[in-house]
Amino acid sequence: MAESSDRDLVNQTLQGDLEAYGDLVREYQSSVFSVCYRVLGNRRDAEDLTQDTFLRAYHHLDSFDMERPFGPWVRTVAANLCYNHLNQSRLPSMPLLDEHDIPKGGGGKTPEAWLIKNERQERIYQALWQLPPHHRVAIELRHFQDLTYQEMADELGIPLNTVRSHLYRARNKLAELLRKYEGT
Amino acid sequence: MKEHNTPETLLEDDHLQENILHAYLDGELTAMEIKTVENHLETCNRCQVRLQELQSTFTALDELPDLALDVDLATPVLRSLKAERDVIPALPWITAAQAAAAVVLLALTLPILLTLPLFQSMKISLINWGSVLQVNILNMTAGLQAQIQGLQTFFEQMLNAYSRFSVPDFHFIPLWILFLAAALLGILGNTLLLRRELNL
Repeated sequence: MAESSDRDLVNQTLQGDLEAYGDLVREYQSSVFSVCYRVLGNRRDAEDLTQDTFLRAYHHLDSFDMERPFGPWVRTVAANLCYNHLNQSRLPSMPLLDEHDIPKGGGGKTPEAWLIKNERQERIYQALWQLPPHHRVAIELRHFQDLTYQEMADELGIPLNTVRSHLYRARNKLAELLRKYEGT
Repeated sequence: MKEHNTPETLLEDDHLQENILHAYLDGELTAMEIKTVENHLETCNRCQVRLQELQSTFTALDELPDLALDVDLATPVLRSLKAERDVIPALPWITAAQAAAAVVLLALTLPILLTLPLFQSMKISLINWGSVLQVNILNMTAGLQAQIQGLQTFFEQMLNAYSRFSVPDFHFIPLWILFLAAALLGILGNTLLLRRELNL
């Protein structure tokens, strides 16, 4: 069930109180941004898509199930929006890095260094961003949003077996890249 | 896993299938499948290693924390929503008023339009078309005759009714043309507004 304060804010928003929606945005903007950043791989797009997510969520608020928490719902909206964005823009995955290009964490070497606290995290991010968009979104929905296979299939509009296949391939590729970056 | 696997289908070449290991860590197996997997893991070193390797990928992903955004996105989001709210509610009233005015103006200009040669020839063509249609359809079915005649009469009456309107004096014709222009602009303008409102 939605936290009562979130539910109250959603109700107030539905009654036309935009400031209540502002409170919801402030409450969830970081977690929604995190979703967008993990899927998109750069701050500027992630901020844009975070805003788009809240605009989209506002326009679909009447379909939000009050019995469920607001946070996971809006984060799933974000993942879907990022997935569509990547598909529409047909952005390639980031180029594979050579061994001497292994990311250096937290030292200001990349524009995103302010977000990433250590080398290990940066290597994981870089490995994640090498994956194709549909694999990144599968990882996001399963590992970070805790959706079941069936929920993922419903959300992405793909068969259950495709969900399994995406996860299987994504994790194997991720493991391979991490081994490469960490020299093991 | 929604399909229920038998103990045999969980294995491939005496080891757990890769997708079964994933489903096991994802909590997607039934109680019976979990029991089978755990029984196998107790006795199979190779599958234990594979499971640990997979777990290390899960662990790596768990290490990514939620990021703290240092800007307030509520302000731009609310600005966009307020802009939408301010524009859209006023639109239907304006659109409705303009559409009504355009229709009235168009109706007022019809009498003079019908006196123009173009419209006279259209009137004749329309009546002729009705006659030709009537003959053709009469050949096919006599039952439709009355309806076609009615339609033809309707066309004639409608056009004659407008033709009987007294055409204004020559001095007022520019005014009628002004009405016509306003009507056409109104219709065009409303179409664009409606397209924008409906995001067409």
